[in-house]
Amino acid sequence: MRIAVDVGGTFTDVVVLDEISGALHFDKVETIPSDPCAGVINGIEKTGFDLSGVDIFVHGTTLGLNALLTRSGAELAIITTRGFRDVYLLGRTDREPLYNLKYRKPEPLVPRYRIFEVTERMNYKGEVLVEFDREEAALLGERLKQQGVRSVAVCLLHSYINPAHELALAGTLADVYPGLSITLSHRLTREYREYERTSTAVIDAYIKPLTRTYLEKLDNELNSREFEGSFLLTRSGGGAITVNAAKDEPAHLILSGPAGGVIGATAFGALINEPNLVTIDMGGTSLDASLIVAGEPGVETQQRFEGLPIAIPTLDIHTIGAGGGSIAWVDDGGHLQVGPQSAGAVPGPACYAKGGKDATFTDAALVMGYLDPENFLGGEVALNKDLAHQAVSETAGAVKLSVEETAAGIMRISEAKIAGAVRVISIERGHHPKDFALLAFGGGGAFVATSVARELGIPRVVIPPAPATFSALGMMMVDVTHDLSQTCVMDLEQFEVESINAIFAELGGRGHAALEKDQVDPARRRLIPMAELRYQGQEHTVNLVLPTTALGSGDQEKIESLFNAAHEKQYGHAMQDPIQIVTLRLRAVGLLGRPDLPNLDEDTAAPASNGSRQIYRSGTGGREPYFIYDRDVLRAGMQIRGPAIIEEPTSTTVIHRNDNLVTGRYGELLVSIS
Amino acid sequence: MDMETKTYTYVAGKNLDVDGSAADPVTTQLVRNSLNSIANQMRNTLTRASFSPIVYEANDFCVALYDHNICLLSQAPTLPVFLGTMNFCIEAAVEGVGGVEALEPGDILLYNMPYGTGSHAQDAAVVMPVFMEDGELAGYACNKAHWYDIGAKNPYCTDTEDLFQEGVIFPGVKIYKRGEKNDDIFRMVEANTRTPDYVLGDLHAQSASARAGADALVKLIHRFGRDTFRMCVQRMFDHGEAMVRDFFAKLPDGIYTATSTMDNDGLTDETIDFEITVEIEGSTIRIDYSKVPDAVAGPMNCPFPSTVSGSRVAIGMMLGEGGSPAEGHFRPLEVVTRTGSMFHPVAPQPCYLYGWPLMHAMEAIYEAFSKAAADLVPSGSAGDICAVQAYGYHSETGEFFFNGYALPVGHGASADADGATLYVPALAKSTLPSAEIQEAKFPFVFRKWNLAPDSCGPGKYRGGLGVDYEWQVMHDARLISTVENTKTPAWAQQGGLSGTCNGFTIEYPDGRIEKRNKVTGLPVPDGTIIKIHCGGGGGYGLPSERDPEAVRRDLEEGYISEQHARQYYPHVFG
Repeated sequence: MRIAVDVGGTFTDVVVLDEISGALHFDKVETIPSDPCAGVINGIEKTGFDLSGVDIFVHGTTLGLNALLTRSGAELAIITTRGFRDVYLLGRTDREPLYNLKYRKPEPLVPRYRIFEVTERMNYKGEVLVEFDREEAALLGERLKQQGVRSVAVCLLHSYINPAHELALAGTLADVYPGLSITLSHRLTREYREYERTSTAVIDAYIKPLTRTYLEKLDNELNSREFEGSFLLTRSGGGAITVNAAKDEPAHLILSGPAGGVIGATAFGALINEPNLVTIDMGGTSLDASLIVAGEPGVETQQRFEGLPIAIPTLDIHTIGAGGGSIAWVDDGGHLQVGPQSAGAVPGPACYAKGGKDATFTDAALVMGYLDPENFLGGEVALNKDLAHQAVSETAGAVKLSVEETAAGIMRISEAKIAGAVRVISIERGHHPKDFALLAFGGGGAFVATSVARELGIPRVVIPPAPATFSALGMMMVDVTHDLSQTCVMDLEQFEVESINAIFAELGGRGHAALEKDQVDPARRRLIPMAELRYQGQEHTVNLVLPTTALGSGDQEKIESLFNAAHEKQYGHAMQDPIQIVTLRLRAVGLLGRPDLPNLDEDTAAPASNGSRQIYRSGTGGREPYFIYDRDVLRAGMQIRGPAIIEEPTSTTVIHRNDNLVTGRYGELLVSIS
Repeated sequence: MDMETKTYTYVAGKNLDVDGSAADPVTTQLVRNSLNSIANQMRNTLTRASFSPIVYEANDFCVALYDHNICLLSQAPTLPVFLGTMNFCIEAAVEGVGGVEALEPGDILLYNMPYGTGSHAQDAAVVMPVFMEDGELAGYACNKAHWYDIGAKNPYCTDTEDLFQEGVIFPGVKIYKRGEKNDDIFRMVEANTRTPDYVLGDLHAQSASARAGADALVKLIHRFGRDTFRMCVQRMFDHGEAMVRDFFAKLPDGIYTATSTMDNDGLTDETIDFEITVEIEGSTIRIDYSKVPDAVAGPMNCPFPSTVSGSRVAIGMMLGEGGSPAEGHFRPLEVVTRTGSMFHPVAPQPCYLYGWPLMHAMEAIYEAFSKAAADLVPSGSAGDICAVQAYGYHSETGEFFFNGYALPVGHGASADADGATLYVPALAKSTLPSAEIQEAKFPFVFRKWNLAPDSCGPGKYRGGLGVDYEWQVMHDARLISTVENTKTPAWAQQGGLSGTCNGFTIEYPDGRIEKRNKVTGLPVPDGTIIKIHCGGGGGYGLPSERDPEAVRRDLEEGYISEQHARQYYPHVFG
């Protein structure tokens, strides 16, 4: 049996899969922000399943990201090479946004008085220029102890090529200050760029104490309930890590929460034969968009969170403030805007009648007629149409439009913002939406999916079963994953095959050791070697997957032509210039096996409708009937022609005139956009 | 040089002959967002395919999209001072090839005449006219990027005496004609640079970027229809203009003056003063450069398009709304110059260091505005990018190496906050490169990368800290330094004091120490240490009014020494 638990801002979702019967069980409890561990245990207990029979428990947490957002992590120190104290505070010094004379950088996680220098220096070849000063380091350790600093991030210059001084420093610190939590930059990334490596180590050290406390508590709770299976966490770079690895390197948990949806989308795409997917995960306050190309989710190695870079492979998830609770407002120039401010769960949209006065996306959808006030969240929340109307009419007064036109405008602007987020990760990076299907989930994803697809020219929309809990379902699809890398700048012309193979052998050894620690059977391990290449002089690289066997001297030409083809595809042109290898990467995977999802019975009869609702049509002043269907009654093969609304307890799918919906074998809704 | 000078007033923003108020506000938002997204796509195409760190790291380029009247539709956040020059680049490039009638679908133009681009010859503009299928001209997709080397007398120059020492000129030529590559021009480019791989790679990237923008613009116009598109664009311009006018209408009318002092003209070491005025009249802003000296003998002259651009950027940054401006934002601005002056040089007056008088001018604009309202702008920055570059031919490989980059400086305090350490507004999108990457690529070792204690201008709110950089050349090399403002510190307001001046010191292996400002091609032996001090920002308000707690925090953080604290903030020590 497998259990997955996804802790969101409002709800904690639990999915249980009985692999023998193939049955899926979904549950939902309220998140307890002050004690998320209790929320997780409540969720598991609500399902009624016995933990002793569970082989794999997968968990996604936003604890680390929240600590960054609210600046509530550990007090920590940085130790760096003498002369480079302010690498972390200076950063790259670029402005975002550009046009603001009073711009200030994001608040650093470490004050300057906690940044220390130690005498030592390597050069870029890893040769020692200045010896490491052990006595000075011991004094530093004493000082940290006196000041009660619990966590330290160490980043020494060129440690990516020779970590000897970082290791020596860690040894000295551990001697004089046992119990100090130490993060070494080279353990997280073996790549050059001292500011990004420092920032990565700082983020790790910042969230380590609280992540450890949380994971230890949860681990104990599980064990006390006779859980004997593997405890895994979804990982920022895709896949999962064991709870012990997560305690050591919590930097890999930054995107643990939203990763579940992307992992699930990748696996679900493979099941339904949609290798190219745009995914949108829309909740109450924000929306996550990502791209899956040829069955692989996009991964970035230079992501930023809250303006702070993290230089480990991280799923390329673009988040914007657009959700059901996003608030409509009018700017100084009289233009209508929506978000990023959100009414959240409290007070929530005006129509929740919990004291919210601002018009939100959900209020606009209610005014338009899309939502059934009596049947929202399975009837758990009764929506107040009058309050929604009142809130939208105040905005309408300010923009001088009718209430219905304003509601239509709020929806259109929200959908345009979502389309804009998708554009950032697709068109602006050289991918055409017409080559993709849109997979939409989260509470609100299905609602906006067809409009967003139409705006971008995406031909098909896929709504998976139970979209509101899809992220938790996605966590069922993980493999244990480790990413290893080594900067190795080498001209392809000088293809030194022995030294490349030696680095891959070293990375392979580390990969096997990590999987051994995770107790993955050797037969279930896969090592995937990759190389990042560029034309000499370029900075941006292209990542190539290499053959898994040792390279031979004849592979040089093959790599060259693979690179040229990949560059052509990604950037629109190839060149005659010399090619350079920059970084060698190895992904070490422990396969857990994909669970089978239950199939839906087939029936091609016309589904029965629950009648219709009148939806306002923008620009006409009139309304148009949309037929209403219960998703429960749909069977594989059934078709619905738009305009129609498909309702289920936690989600609503809207299809417009001439859109055509077919139900797939797993119960997914496949909509062709007219 | 004898020439007839005249005063010249420039006002932006032709109107489309359509009524913007008829456009639907929501559709206008969609059009605006889509136009900005196209600009981002153009930027990404350029940076990803680019070959030189000056483009992909330092962001020394810009991309923009214009309509058929050469009005700015959208731009991606890139080098600010380039962004306001692109309309001039398009006009000049199109005129160079024979006017609008000579343009055909698939053409791509190259242009780098400084008096038309506003820049030095190294900044090359690429312009692609955008045609609809029926042949109607829809607009222009364009960009301007700093080329690594364009065959000037040195890879970078601080001592040129006329245009012809500053590099090869492409006065508006078609590098693509009806989609066909013009190999002759590419061969000329290749033959006229010390770094052909970088430059050809970047020129390809620039062409790809313009093409991406042109294709996307045609699709966008189709999606909304030509009439709706134009109405929305007009409404977008009107909206931008209204926002800017609202901002300035709230300021008191008047004429505000400020002067600035340049270290020298690059040839001698005499300081040069100039005065500009800012006039606020209702919601219109007039920036008058007509009283500045005649063009100087050295390269410290700023061509007219950059004079306009610097004025635009100064105002855009002041508004602080974050978003990228379009043509409408520029309409309330009038720029007055005098031909033949240092802010409107004419051929063949030298202008290699055009960016330096421009940085001075932007500081002076802010200083003038500070006299209109006390909380309008922060005090001055150290006003430079403190760039020192080194080059040579490597003795082992024979390869040409050339490296150096812009550095951040201390910025001024404002009415409610201490100053920051950032790039000057003119180069606000630059980024500090990695020491590890520089060392792996070039024969340098960095020794210091630290904020400079006590460099900040004292005040109720203190200026931002300057920075101390030190590096050692590990090979015989030649130096180029453009370090400016070594004689005049940042301006301050309301009783605040200035920060430290910028500085550039050379320590030779034989123990000799030299303080310099601008140098070109100065030979230094292996082992020479370069010390750069990026100055501090100006303070705001009387130091005696500074919160003692803030002084104590600065002491704890090591931003100031106890001596500095006792000198400027004695009230803290009771």
